[in-house]
Amino acid sequence: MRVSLRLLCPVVVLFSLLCISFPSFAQVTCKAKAPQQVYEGQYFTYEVTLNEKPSKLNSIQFPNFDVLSGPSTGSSTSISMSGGKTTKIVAFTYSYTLQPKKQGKFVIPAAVFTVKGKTVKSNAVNVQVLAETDRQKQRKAQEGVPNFNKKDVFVKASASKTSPFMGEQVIVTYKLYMPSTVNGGWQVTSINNPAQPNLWSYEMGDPSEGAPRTIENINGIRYTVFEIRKNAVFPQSTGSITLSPMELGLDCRIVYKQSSGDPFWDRMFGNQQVQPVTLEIESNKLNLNVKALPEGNVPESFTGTVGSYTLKSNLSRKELSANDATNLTLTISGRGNIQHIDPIALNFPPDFDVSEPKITDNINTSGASVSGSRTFEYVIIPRNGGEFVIEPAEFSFYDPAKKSYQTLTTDNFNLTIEGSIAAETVSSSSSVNQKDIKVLGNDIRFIKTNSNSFVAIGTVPFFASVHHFSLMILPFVLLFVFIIVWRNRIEKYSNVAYVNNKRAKKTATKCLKNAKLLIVQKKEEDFYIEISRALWGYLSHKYHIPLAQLSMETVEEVLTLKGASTETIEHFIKTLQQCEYSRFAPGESAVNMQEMYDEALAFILNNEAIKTK
Amino acid sequence: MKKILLIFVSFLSAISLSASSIQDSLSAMFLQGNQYYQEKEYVLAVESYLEVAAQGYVSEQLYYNLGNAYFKAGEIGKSILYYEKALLLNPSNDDIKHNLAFANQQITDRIEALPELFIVQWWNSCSAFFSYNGWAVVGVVSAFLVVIFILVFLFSRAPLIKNVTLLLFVLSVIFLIFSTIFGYKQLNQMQESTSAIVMAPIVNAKSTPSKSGSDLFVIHEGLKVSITDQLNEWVEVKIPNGEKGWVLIESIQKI
Repeated sequence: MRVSLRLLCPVVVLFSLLCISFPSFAQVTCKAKAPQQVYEGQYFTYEVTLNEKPSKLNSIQFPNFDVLSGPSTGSSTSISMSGGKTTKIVAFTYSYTLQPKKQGKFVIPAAVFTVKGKTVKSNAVNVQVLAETDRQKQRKAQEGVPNFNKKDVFVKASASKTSPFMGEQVIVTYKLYMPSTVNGGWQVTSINNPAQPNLWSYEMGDPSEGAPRTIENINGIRYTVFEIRKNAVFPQSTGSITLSPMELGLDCRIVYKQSSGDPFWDRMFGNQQVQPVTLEIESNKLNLNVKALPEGNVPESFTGTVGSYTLKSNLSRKELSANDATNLTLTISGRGNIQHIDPIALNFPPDFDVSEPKITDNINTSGASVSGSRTFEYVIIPRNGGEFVIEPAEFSFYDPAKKSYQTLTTDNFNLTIEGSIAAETVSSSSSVNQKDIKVLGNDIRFIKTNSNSFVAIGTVPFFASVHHFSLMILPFVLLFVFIIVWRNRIEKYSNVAYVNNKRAKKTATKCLKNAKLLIVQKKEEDFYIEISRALWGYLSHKYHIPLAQLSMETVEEVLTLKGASTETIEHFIKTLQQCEYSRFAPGESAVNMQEMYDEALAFILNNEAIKTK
Repeated sequence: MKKILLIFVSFLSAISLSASSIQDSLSAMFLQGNQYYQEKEYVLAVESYLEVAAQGYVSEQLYYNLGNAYFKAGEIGKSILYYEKALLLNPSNDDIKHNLAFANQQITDRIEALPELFIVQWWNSCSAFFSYNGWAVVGVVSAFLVVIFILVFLFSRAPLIKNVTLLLFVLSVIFLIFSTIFGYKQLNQMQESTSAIVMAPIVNAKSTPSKSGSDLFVIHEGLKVSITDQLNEWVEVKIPNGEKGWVLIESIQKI
């Protein structure tokens, strides 16, 4: 028992797992349907039905069939009740009208849809295309089913020139060939003309005008030819350029008769059937062999423009005041890639405020080729007065018709601008720099009413002149001289003996002057005292001997010691003795006094004379 | 001896007499210019003032009045030129500085000057206090003062006087040195003036001294530039913001 339980356990687990993984939602069905047998050239319907709304049609392919129309989608819902149970059936249908390309056995591969995030595939369908029997052809002819072949509708592109120059205008015309089998009318649903990197392309013609039509017969089929598109193309690189084909979407209606089997009904309401056909056709590929422009004599102002042009210029005002505006207009007109003409380089004088040119195009595309004019309008604002010249504008292009480069130039533009800088900036600076103006006042200060003496131009400046230097040095020279003199003086006066020596004569003559007065006063006693004082004083000062050391006994010895000459000593002693004698032996006093005076004076003068020698 | 002195004196007086008569006639022209200026005949005033200069004589006031007359006549470049000339003769005059600053407000270019170190600014404004001749006089006076203070110092015995004179002596030596330096600076500025004023309304500064050189910048009448080089009729100028370019010599005028 224990063993069987052990064996049972994994079985229970497995069973429960199976229960969980069992699908819990309804299966999505997807069924494709088509007739098993068709005849060549017969239209038939291919249908795919799903029971859920698909979010996306991933792929559907008809390798051996032409799609005449489709996909058209439809949906239907039906609700049925049986035994109290309500069933809701929903059907979504995708249908195509197909035409076999050739006879044989073909497989239409499965269509792939995405439904609720899951990929759903339909079944593949086998279709056998049988050769058309004569009976059928006959029946078709009777019924009036047109023998429409998708290949009979085509677009043909043609170029006006297959080997243009770079930048030259080429007109590419697209013509739609519509066979007479399309008898129920047609409509262009889309035109896709992919842009190409090395081409400038412009659509030409007036779209409001109907496409011109012509009739052409090709291989026995009568075509109505519509010119559906005309492009002006400007190649931008040399070498071989393949124009990518134009893609055209068309809706055609083909009307045929099909008998309903009731002649009366047919007669009343007609037996016409309409088969819509959707076509996606491509034009043929055009090849252009683009030539480079000739290299010799390329003008400097050439920027790659090709065509034939004229240049006009106009200056709206030639005389104006500063800060006013004038317009310079340059107009280039002609045939060519007008919309890609660069603004002409102009040399404006400095200080002209020139706006970026305003470009106005007047393009005419209704003719056989693109023509028109391009206008450059410069607004010029001169900021200062004066005479100015704007150099001529120059425009160059290559003319393929004349096979040469052409250069067009305008005249010089002369401008006369009135106005001064001061007048202009006063008005403008008042707001910009008001603070400065306020500080400085509103005007310059008044002139000087008087002038200093005028100085000749080229006068040697006083600074660094000889006068300047001498005046600078003068006080120092004076100081130097003064100090030398003064130092000398100090030296001399610091020597007492020298001073005494110098003072000797002075004091002596002072005494003698007194003595002279005493002669007149006849004071004998005093006179002789004065004379002897003068002599002793002189000696004392002259030889720097204290008066106390001087006496009649010692005078000779002392004087010899001091280096006085013997002559002097003798003279002195003699004079002194005479003086003593006269003093104590008065005689004819007046005569003696005068003699004594003369004697003393003579001694001093003699002695001084000797000294100075 | 007396004869020679007499001749010398008479010669001197003759010179001074003729000089004073010239001064009188110049003064008359100057006053005539002033008259025109007051009558608002600025062009005539300019002519009168220029007549004085044509005689070979100038003065600070003449330049100043010329600057004023040119300013009123609307020739801002010449006005600035003459204000600058006047300022060279008297760098400290307030009226000249004011009018020059005012005229500079009117010119088209407002180029930010490169900032100068404050010491350099201070140095320049100090040296502009006198003209070179003014500094010469200051120098001579301070030389005399130096000597006087030396003497007073040597001969005075009171310590207070000695201290004061020592201080004054040092001060006057400083004055002497700086007046010489500043004087030289001023003289140099005038004699080797590298400054010029743009005269043409618009000047295109080129990268090379030729017409084919590419344009570097545009300057206008009245801008003060300094000349850094010269080649034939082209001069290289430096504008206040430090940019350099070549212009035709006729488009500028040296101060």
